[in-house]
Amino acid sequence: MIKNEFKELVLDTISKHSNISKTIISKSHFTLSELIHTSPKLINSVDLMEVFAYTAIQIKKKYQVAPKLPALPLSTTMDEVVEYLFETTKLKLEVRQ
Amino acid sequence: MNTLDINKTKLPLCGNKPNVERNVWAAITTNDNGLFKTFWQQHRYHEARRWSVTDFINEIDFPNLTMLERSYIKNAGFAEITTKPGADRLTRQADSECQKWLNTNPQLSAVMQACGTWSRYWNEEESHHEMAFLYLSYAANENTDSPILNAVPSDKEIIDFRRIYPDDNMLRTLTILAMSEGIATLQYNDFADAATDPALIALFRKISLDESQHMRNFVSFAKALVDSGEFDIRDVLSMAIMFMREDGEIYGNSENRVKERDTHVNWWDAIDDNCQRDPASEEKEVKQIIFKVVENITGIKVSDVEELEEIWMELLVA
Repeated sequence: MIKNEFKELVLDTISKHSNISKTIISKSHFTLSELIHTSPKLINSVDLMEVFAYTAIQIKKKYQVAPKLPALPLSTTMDEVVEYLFETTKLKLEVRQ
Repeated sequence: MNTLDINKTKLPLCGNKPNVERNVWAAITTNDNGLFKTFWQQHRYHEARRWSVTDFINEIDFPNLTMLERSYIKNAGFAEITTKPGADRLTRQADSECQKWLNTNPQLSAVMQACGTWSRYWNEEESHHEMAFLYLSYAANENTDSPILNAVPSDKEIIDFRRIYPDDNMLRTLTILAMSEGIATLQYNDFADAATDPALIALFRKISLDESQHMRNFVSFAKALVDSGEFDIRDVLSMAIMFMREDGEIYGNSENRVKERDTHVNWWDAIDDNCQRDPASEEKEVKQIIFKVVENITGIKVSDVEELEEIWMELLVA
């Protein structure tokens, strides 16, 4: 599992399901709170959970395991989200092997 | 005085004991004047369940209430302040949805009107709970040697707790309200189990029953939305997952979560830790009631959160 490739997959999916360009969400320190407020599609944390579910589905398609759905504070940055998803996916892959 | 029991007369629409309408969609779509008949049943049921706060209060032995009872009363009073904005929001949202569906799905528009009309009873019944507990807290703690401080909310606290919840889609709104009422039912039953004053026990049980019938109403309206074919059951599942997942709302009033959400106050935010039940038994009972809510709205029966999450994610890609 290559981290950069994983990150691109996560950002592509979040960008698609939040209707925000990848350039914007890729900015350092872009938080989940900003994601909800900037998106024309997301209203609240339930929508955010749905975006993470779509992301987990894409990860499962590519790596055969789905990460745990994150329940992170809204102050979490997108880099931290990617890190969380990467680590929980890695852990699940290790358990499976 | 007329002592006629209207529920035992042969008058039209009066012969049976009033109850919560379990199939709102059928009641409205298969009947002539379905909306009027639904209003009448709602009204009869509300009247049949009316009770007096002052009558209950008269029976309570204030000087001998335990510290735990005083604490329960205070917490319940603060928590109940948040129900009025919930009901006000429901009235407004149901009215707006009623207008929205008027031309494209008039039957669904009528369901929304039935829901908005029922919200007047919900609001009034909740006002009984709020006033009962706030007054009890005042009478039991203020100007006495009770160590419970700030037994009644300040004006600032009341205004803060009255903030209106942000809008969401109607099915999600009804689902979270059903879950919330289910949890309140359990909470008041627990307070009743731990209380010792007979009149206070009776009051907790009475209010628990009110919350339970509110839950059944929310489930019925949510099911009607699903029956209309215009709403997506995935929204029911996502609300349940949000509530029950690790670190979800089920796990109480964590300071971080409340800080995260600065838009409104949920009723469970106001419950102090010393009034929380045994965490393991609470989690089990709350999950059971939420699974039942999900089943009654969607027909999907699950026994754990992982299974629910799996079904939800399968439906997302379907």
